[in-house]
Amino acid sequence: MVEADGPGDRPAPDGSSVSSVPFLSSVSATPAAPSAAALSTASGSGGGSGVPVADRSLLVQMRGITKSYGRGAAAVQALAGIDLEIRRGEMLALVGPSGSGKSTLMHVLGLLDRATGGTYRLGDRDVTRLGGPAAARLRGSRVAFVFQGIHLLPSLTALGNIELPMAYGRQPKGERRRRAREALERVGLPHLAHRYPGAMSGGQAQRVAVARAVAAGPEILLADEPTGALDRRSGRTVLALVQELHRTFGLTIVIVTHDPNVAAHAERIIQMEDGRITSDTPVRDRLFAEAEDAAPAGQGERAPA
Amino acid sequence: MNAWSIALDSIWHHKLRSTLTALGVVIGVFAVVTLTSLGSGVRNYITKQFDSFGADLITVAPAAPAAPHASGGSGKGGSGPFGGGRGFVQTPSTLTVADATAIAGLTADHVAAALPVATAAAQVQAGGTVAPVGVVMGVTAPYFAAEQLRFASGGVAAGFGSGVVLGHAVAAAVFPGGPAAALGQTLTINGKADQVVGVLAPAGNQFGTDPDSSVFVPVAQALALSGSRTVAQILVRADSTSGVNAAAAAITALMNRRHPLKDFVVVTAGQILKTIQSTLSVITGVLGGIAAISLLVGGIGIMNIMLVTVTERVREIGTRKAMGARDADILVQFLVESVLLALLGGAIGTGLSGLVGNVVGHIAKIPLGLTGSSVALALGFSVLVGAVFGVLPALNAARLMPADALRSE
Repeated sequence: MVEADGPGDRPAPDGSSVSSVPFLSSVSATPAAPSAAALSTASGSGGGSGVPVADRSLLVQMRGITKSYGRGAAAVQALAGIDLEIRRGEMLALVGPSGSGKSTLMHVLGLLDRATGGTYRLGDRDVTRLGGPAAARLRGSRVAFVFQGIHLLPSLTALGNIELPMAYGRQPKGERRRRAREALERVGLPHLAHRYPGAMSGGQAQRVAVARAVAAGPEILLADEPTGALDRRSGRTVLALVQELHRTFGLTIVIVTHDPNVAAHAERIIQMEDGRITSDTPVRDRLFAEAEDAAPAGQGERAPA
Repeated sequence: MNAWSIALDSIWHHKLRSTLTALGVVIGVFAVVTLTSLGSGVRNYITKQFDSFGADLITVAPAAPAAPHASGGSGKGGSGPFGGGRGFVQTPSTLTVADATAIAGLTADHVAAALPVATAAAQVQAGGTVAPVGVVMGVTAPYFAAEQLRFASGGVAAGFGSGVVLGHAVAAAVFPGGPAAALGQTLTINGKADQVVGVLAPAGNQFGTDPDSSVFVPVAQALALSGSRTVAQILVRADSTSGVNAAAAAITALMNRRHPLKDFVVVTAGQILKTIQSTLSVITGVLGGIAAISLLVGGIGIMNIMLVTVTERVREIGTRKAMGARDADILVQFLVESVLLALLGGAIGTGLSGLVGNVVGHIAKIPLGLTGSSVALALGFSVLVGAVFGVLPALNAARLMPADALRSE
């Protein structure tokens, strides 16, 4: 199912030696079988760039999404008509200055917030007006998050934190524990199973948070400045981890970031400004454009990978 | 998700805050449980005292004659169930020694003895000093046993035809040599010489009588002193506790014939006990109610802190919701936390109350331990307080929009 796309074949981002990251050995040593169980919803899709993908169907379809806060004259429009399509197995970066609406877009994408207008289809389901328990169920199972602030619960161990979404999804305890251990191994931290977040480094905590996000086998991972609170080295490790998940399991990933280095890891970069998408560029085009101009290149078709 | 373990975790991780939050409930429950168990402890104590000495006693006391328009029977005399207050007569008495003799004849109706008690005011002197005497009581020999009065020295013969018995305080005042030294000494009552035949052990104040500062003489002598033919009351002892009601009925019937004006009351110890108990219940209830207000304040304290906690833990709530927690999950989590806090406070308050009750009871020699019902009531109320005052904060937490909760950093 997953092509033999070993980590060594991958272009190492910003020259760092990716193979030194501890989790990689465990990932490459782990055959596809357990990960297929954990990522059953994404099982149809293959790896990242260069890998032929069976299922590239539409996962996210947004039409004219608006979001405003407040009423009347004091109203602030955070999203002013977003049209966005994301296919399964894509990895895209959402960039833009502060207040451009990228976090709001991520919240709407992740069903953490409801759009004021427009339509939003997730998979084959219209989730524009979805709220309450139905939205909560999707948040627990199909949409996963990694936050800048890491957001591990300090009163739970690494395993407890990883189990949290599955616990809210009412999964049986044994199954929960098994998947949590698997996920912790996948991020290369099995020895931290019973450690509390307070006793972890920032990088370790964020890797546990990534494990928490993917343990339940989501369809899409939303990462809001996942490296923003980390030092460069930890940031690189986490980023490599996210990319690994994308490559190995074809997990759909949206990364919100300020950092061009982070954005460079994506296949597609969406630039936002004032609640609008100002550009939507395949990453190679963008790299060429950046060479001569700081401003992003114009709207372009996605280059065939 | 196990809401109980989440709540316990949260309480444990914020020990100081949890302690302070629960403190209000601790104090409230402590006050309620202490006051109610104090009330029931005193009640039990009094009941036991009555059982040990007064359960078979019936008092016939003077009362205002039943008014023609009042249909009330003899038991509803003007001076109430305490009758003449055992010696402090407000209503002129018409009871006589002959009445007592007649009542004593009712042996078929469970009457074991009828003891006329007369009172007189008189000046008692010994060797030139005036004794601090409250009242001179005219009694028969069985009176002392019936009232549980013990002799420190001396005693009275079965007939008790002469001599004087001194209350402990009286004896101590006029004969400093001690109870034994007082025996055989002479004193004067209204100028008439009399000989001390006994001194009572300290008795303390007993429901309106003060044996320690009384002197006791034969009934006939007391009647001579007061210049009256009537006695203050007649103490009747039934032959058994179960015979008390029958005896009281027979006495009432007999006295109705002898006193057609119904100027008397027949009061059993049980009736007195009932009156005391209902009075105590009212006092306990009022005090408990006041204490319950402090429990209310404790509940408001919980609500306060929980509201603060919710705003403080917005990030946690946001994270949980992002991880798939439904509103109901968050609601239950915070509700359980406040209930658990209140329950914890209630348990500590109950324990403290038990401790204080035992210490105080030990000192006062009254059994004041916790009762099962007071513990159940206290814990039940704690849960109720936690639930009622936890609803608003829990709703606040549950209603948070996850995006708003995550943004507030």
